[in-house]
Amino acid sequence: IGLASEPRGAMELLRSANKAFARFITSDVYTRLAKLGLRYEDLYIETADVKLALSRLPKEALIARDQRLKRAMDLSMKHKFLPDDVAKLHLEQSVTRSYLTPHLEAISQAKKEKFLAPGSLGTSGYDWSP
Amino acid sequence: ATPALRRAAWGAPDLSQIPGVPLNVPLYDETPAPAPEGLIPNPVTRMTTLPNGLKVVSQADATPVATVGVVVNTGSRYETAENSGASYMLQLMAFTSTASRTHFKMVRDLESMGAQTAASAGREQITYTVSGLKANVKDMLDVVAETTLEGSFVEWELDEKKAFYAEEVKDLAANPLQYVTEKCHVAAYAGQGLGMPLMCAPGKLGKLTAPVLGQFMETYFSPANMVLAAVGPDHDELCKAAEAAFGTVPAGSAAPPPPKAAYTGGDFREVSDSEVTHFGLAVEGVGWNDPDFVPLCVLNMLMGGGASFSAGGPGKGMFSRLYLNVLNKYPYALNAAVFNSVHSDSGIFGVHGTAEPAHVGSLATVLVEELAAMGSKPFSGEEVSRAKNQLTSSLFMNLESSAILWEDLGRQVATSGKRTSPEDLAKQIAAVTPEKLSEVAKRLLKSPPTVVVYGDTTAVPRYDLIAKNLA
Repeated sequence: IGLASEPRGAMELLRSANKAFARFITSDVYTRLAKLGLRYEDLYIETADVKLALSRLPKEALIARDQRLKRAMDLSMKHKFLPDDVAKLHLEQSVTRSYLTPHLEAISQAKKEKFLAPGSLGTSGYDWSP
Repeated sequence: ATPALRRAAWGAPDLSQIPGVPLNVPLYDETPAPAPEGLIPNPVTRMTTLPNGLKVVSQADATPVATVGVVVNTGSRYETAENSGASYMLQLMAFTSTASRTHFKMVRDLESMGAQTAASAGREQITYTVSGLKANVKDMLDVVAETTLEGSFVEWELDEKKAFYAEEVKDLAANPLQYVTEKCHVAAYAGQGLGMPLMCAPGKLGKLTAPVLGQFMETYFSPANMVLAAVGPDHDELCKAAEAAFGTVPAGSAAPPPPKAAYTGGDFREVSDSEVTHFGLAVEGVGWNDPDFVPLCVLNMLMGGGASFSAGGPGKGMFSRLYLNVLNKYPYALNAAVFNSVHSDSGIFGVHGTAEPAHVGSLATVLVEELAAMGSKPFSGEEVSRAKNQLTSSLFMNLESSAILWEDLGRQVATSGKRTSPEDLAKQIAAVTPEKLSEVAKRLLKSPPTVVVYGDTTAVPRYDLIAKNLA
């Protein structure tokens, strides 16, 4: 029952290997993003929910996001990266900061509330209301 | 023979059996007996003050419907330049997201109760009402308590309402008589206190952020500054439910009093490209607690007026002075009516006029003469008694509506701390004499006039000429 002395199973080995690999991939992605000056959330594909969340951001956040994307596109075209110290600063302070996730969670919460409300199509698949 | 057979086949009665009685002969000999006393109980207004200062006033009735709500003693008069327009914004944001439920849940909960909501922001009071079944009074009070004490001003809901606000400002300009009354206030009180506009300019809406609105609510929406009024539920049950919904809120500090009303009179002219010109000509009226308030209401009824083309039957005021002397005599007068705006310590009493630009100068002259005659020409007993009867019957007939009764209860207690019954008001109306009306009219005409012109601004005479002719 999970004592350290028991021989570890194959599934556990695979899980821990997967975790280590995941950590490596994540840090690699973050480093590459930092070299281009982007945040992880800048790369979200603009679905309807993401568009709605973007429309709820304050103007300064939207402008900053556009500038980061423009800077990254410019660097990519020139096959250059940000200077190392700037990239390091960006990696420490900025890459993982989330600005869309709270809004996306609120949006999905609202959708769920609407779906589950009595009388909406979510409860029965057809609407009995006259 | 054939008609009788047809009638029998349809089951219709054979009319030859009923004796023919002409319509000008009464069918019965005796008059019906009056209803026994106590069959319909006289309504009783009861008032209690909760420990945290919230006043609860209610009048029970026998219908299954209850109207509950809160009147808050704040409005555009209490606004400053930084938060001008906050009261109207609070009206638009009424019954939206709160700390406990989202706007969606609020709407669904109200729908499941079968309740309807209304909010209205004025210069000195903001009201929130919910009407529904008496069985749901507790839930309705919860909704009212949440929206007045726990409103959360969510950014995107605020932005939606601001877009609507901008449309409302345009609609106000499209309703010229209301617009003229609004501008009369701005001009008469020099843009301060009672002269603060009800709605700010759309360009200033960016100032009304969530913290600003929250601060406004924090200052003025305390239980001691609010009145909970209800029409329908039993008073003791209502107090229990109010204690549950509002009792946990501490009394808080007293709200700052408003700036004193300083009537200055003034002139405001705005150009518009409409085919008619509207103007307002006003003087300082009285406040709610003034002893001349009831006589001024009688004077309002007596002067009367309205539109030159209007539908309606008896009782609409065709024998009022403005109808007899202005609308019936001068075909160019499209509209001539008095208006009476009453606030807690001051008011505005004036006349609206509408005419085409070519004639609006003459209409203005005629109306100035009428207002001056109000002070100089004595009132006949007949017109005073007609005005008193019309006012009394309008008072009682309006109070038959539960929405208006709710407003009466709530606003009276919020303004003066007590509710004067309609019977007492009827006694005060009956005590008005023609001499009293002349005295009130002379008092009004002593104040400097307010002139508002909306349309062709050059057609109405200059302010100083109007002031000279009114004095």
